[in-house]
Amino acid sequence: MLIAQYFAWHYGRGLKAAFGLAENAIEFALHIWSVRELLVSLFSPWKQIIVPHRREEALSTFFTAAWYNLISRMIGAAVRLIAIGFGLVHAVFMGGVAAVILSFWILGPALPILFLFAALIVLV
Amino acid sequence: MPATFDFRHTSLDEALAFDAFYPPFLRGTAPFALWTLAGLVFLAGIVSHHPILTSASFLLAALATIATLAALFFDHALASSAFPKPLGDAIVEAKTSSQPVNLAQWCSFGVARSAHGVSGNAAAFIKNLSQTPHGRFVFARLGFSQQDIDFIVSQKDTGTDLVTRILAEAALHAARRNHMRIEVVDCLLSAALSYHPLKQLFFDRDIRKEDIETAIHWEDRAFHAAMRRKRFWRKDAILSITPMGREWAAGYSPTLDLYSRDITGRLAANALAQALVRHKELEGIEHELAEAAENNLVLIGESAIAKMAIVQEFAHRINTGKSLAALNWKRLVQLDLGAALAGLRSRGEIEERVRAVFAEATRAGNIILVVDNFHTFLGSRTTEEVVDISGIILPFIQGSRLQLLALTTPQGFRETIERRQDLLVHFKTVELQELSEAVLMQALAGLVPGYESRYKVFITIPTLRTCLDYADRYIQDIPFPEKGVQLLESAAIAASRAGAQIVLPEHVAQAVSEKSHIPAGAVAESEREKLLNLENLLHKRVVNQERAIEVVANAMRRARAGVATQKRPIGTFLFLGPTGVGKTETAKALAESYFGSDERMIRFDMSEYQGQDAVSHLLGSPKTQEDGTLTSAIRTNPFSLVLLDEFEKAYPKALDLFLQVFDEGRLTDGWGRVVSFRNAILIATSNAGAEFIRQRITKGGDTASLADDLIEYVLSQGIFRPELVNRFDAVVVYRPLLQEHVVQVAQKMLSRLSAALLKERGVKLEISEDGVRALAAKGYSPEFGGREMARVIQEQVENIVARKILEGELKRGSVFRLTARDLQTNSTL
Repeated sequence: MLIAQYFAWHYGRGLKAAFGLAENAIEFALHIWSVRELLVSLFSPWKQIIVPHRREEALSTFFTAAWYNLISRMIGAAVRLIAIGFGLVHAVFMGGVAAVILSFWILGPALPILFLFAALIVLV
Repeated sequence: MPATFDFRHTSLDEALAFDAFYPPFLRGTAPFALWTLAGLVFLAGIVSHHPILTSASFLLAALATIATLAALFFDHALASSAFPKPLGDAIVEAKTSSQPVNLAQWCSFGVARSAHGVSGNAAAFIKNLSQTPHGRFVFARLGFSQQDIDFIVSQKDTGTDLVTRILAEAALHAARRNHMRIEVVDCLLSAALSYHPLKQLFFDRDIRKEDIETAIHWEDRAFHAAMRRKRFWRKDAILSITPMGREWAAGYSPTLDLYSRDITGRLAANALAQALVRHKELEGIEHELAEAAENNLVLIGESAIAKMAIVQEFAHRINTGKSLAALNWKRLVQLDLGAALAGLRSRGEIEERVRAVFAEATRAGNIILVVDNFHTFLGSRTTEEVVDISGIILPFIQGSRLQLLALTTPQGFRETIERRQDLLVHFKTVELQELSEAVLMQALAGLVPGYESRYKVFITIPTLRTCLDYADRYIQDIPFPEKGVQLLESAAIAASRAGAQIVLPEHVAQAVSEKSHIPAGAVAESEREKLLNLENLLHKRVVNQERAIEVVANAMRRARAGVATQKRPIGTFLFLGPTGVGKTETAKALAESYFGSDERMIRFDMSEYQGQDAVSHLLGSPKTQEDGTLTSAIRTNPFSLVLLDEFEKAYPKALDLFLQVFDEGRLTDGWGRVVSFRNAILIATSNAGAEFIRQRITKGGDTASLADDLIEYVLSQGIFRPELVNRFDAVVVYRPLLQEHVVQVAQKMLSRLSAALLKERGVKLEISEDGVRALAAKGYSPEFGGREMARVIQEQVENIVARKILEGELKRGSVFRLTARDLQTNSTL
């Protein structure tokens, strides 16, 4: 009875919790690098540094301002892309860790037997 | 049918069996120890190339796996199994069903273990509960020792089926508190209310139901905080870590950064902040600030701590993504406008600085600007020192990009912000309501761990309650929770200094007494002596007037013994009688006896308040920018005796003010601030009816009914209104003094003079008996009683002594003798 209860829990609520843990590990990487927020604001000007301009200004002034602002946006996008890249690498790594945790959990009930086999094999 | 609690054949029964086989100590240590050992043995096997060691390490790993999974299975499955339905539904079913409903499976494992094997013995059940971590916490915080618990267990309750009754009641408490299970703390509350020996002990210790609930709430919070700390992998814990790159889309704010501090994410775990937060107000702030058009807010509240608590919790929520989407991950920046404007002299400099700061806050795009004491920068007052920045910031506030959270006091809002309609239309307001006692208790409880570790003391709930009671009663000029917090810290310091390990209500009383120089707390032995002998103490200064002294002394004893209501002043008396009979002297004697010095007496000559402006003089008025004479005096010295001389001469509307003072012990001044008179004694004196008294005494009629007759006379003459007279604790009638009484007055005054001379100049004063009589004869008049006595002693004794000291005739160690003959000679000179 207790054994049945154990297996029901291990592959029921326990497995769900293990998946939650794995999800949190990936979430941690995405959060710490602000991946979602940086994607949303990918082409925003860097630190809001912009040159105000109006259409009625002289064409050269207008284009100069627009050029500076484009540069500001490009710098912003470059810096953000680097951070997003790091974030994704980190997330992949954490995904790997999560996969190991999940594998251990799924194999959990069989692990003592596997360890016993290993012990016997080493001796033999 | 009533609910039953049969643990057999439930998952808890299996958990109990498992717990016996694999006890908590092993569950806590075995997995870690086995894994460590397996690792070490494995390493040893690798290093030594010894296959037995390697094989043993795998065996240990197998055991470690089993130990780990078994511990996890117990904690997450056996001891916390899922329920078929919510507890509330099960209780309803138990009440309505004709079949008994077994509620055992809704019990927590701690409750099941406490009830296991007690066979209906409630004392054993309570003892088991008290030994769980939750039970230990609650009992310790309520100030109970192990001896107390042993004492409870040794007592008998004759009730039947007590364990089931306690559990059934606990189920109701649990449902009410939205607990998923019947917890140990629910059982303790239930036992405290229904198990007689425990109930009796709580009653003896003056521990109320609210105190137990505070302990339970405190335990809940502490337990959950510990759980959160342990489970660092939870999503909310992960999201509370400050990420990088979040601000890369926002603008720079170099000038603002110089004069501000970023409070986002700081003090996230501030227990006081969490306890003080009222979710309704917090939601109000979030909702208003998130609205597209209306993004400025004024937070109005008396208490600076309560306002900052809300701001801190708001900061914590936006920093952990728990606020509204439009606000999450923004920066909450507290601007120190005082620092920003410091040193700037010209209007131009001020404008430039303020504009730069607000422009940066607007341009950054992710800043919510917090300005404390906002009203002080709007300059509605006419003084030149006050800077008015409203004109400069108005364009920013009118725009939709700046988000401003302004903090102010109710008074500041009324007097400054509310009057600026051009500004006010761009703000929404959220007003902090008064804090309930339960919230204040929780707030203080939240601070306890900090004080305990700082001062190495232990603080119990009865001490917290005493803190709140005394802060409410004895500290008037500081709002809650500040005064409670300050008093708690002072009490912890007092206990620490005294070498005590536990902060007791006595330490709170000591802290109050040190601050206010007023006896607080349980009546100390010396004070008890003083109160019981108050008549004698008063008679040392007041001659005759036995009845008056008796009335006053009784009223004072009622107040200090806690019999009288605490919502009124300590005592309110109307002294009626002719001049020079000891009315003022009684007041001085009372101030000296009760407050420690007659300098604690604040005297008001009410004949100065006869005009129509009397009320505004007494209460103060924003129009005249003057504080009220009465209200400011009592705010500065709340522990005072207020003497209202010639009370009947005051303007009638001024007298009406005292109706509220006598009834409710408080008054609202012209600025809208409430002033408490609960720690004051008010004595009104009046000569009205003096002639009536004199005639009655002369006629020698029934003196027993003199007081009643005089009151009737005073009312019939319209001198006082009945509703005013009825509100005094006692109307005390003073009898005219006869010549023999004035002799006693003279003796008392001369002995005071003698003591002062000996102390200051080393000169001894000896006045013969006939000398005293002669002075009394000069100082007495039937009309003015002993009033002239002071003047006569001054002229006939003090002047001569002064002259002789200056002439060198009286030196240190000399004796100055005075007889009736000397007095006669002096007067003929």
